[in-house]
Amino acid sequence: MKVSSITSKLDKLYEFDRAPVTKDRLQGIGNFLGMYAGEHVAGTEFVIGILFVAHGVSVTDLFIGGFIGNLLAVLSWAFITSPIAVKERLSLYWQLKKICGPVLVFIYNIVNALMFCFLAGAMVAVSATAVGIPFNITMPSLGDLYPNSIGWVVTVICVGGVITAIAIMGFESLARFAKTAAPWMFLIFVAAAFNSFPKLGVEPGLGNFWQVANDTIWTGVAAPGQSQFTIWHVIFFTWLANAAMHLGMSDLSIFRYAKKWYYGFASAVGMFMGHYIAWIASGILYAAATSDAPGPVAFQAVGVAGAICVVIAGWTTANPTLYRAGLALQVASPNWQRWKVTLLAGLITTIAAMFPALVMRLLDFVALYGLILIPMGGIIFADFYLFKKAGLQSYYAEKHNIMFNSAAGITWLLLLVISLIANRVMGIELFFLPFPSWVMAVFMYLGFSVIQQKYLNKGLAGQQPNV
Amino acid sequence: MPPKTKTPWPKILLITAAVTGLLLTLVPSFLNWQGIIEPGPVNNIMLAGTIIWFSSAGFLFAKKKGS
Repeated sequence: MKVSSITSKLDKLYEFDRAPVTKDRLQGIGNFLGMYAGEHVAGTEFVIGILFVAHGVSVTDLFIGGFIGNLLAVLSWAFITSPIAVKERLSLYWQLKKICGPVLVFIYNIVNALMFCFLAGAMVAVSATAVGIPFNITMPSLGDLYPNSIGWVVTVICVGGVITAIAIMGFESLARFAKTAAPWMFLIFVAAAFNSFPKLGVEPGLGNFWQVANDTIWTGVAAPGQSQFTIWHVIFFTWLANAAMHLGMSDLSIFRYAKKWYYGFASAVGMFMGHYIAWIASGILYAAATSDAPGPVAFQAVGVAGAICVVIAGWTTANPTLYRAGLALQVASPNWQRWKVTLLAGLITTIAAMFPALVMRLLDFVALYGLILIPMGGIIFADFYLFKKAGLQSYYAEKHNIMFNSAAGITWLLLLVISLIANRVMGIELFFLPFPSWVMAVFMYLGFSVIQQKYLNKGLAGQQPNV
Repeated sequence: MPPKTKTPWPKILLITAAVTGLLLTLVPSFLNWQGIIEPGPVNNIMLAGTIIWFSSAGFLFAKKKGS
């Protein structure tokens, strides 16, 4: 087959990237349940469970804090993200373009796409720890930041290549694969925990579970070189681990396919079966294992099935993340077809995955990634819910052909500077910054827009919109 | 006379296989923890469950989409 023929076929993979989703393309709740279950019973859950243990989370902090944080995350998706997605039916990027103008969206999308690529890179690295087992590759440990062998680099390239190829095929194929793998992955997490119980001395019937959990698994004492976590760390990390997706509105791109707004509650499958139970399970298997790398930890617990689970868990999360990265980059390069930009995103992802720092510092990276992207979610929220009530025009940049909406640009930049000062000067940890940043974004954008629309551009506000 | 309805045997077979695959993935480790079976064969049974699940559920989802 000629290359040009393959190219033209790939070009036909048009998926409403630049227009509202039409009624005939809306999807039932099953796809969203599968998508969220697949995405949040993921390779990173193996790492996060392990890192919670390393950060000295106690058993009550994990069980109570994890429950509260996950509940807050579900409510954020259901009451903030999905109602806007269902009403507008636009991807995050095209909605932002209408609000912020193409120049600001260009900058945002480059940052956003890089963040998505790094996140997908962490998942590729997690998969690679399992793929490398039969080849006796030296696995990275908690302290590793740089590639530690040629074997590791080659494994990452192979895994990254396969994941990129699947992301190019589009949303429906991703959802189908995630739907098939999700129930099995969840059971593997649970089965691995069961299989680790005898090694840890947990009696049949769970009679001494709390004692073993306190003494051996979540001891409440951080490992050397790791910061000490409290219940507040667990609540805020759990709630805002996916801050970019819910409060940051990235999942507008997903929920624009939903028939009803309440499909946002489908995220509960991912939060409770995925994050909550999977983080508990991975902590249990880590306590019974002799490695820091997710692949060997799962392999030691349940053999080959565990290693396969790590590969697939990384895969099903990396795929939608790469898909989002492709969408983000496409706005920045409108003349490129989506498959080309996804390929570029896949390349960046694969290179990032070669650095184990991405996995071993995953908690910090996840918090940073939410913090950088979350102000734009606040801006969308203000534009959608508050602008009409305040007598302001929504989609201001589109209506007035503005290339750079300075009200949005200043809001974003100021909040990044404030967050940087709060973290570096005042010593506030990254995990606690995204929510205040989101709230401040809502009010700052509203305030700046009042100044912009009612005082500075008074003449523009009275013009007919250019639709 | 009402038309005869055809029993969807392939679908029933696939669903049965998929559920069996899931049970084989979860149950052996639980039985191992309870001390009912030896730890030796547990991992192999789970691997068999994995293969059965993906071959049946994958086909089932693909079939459902096609129908």
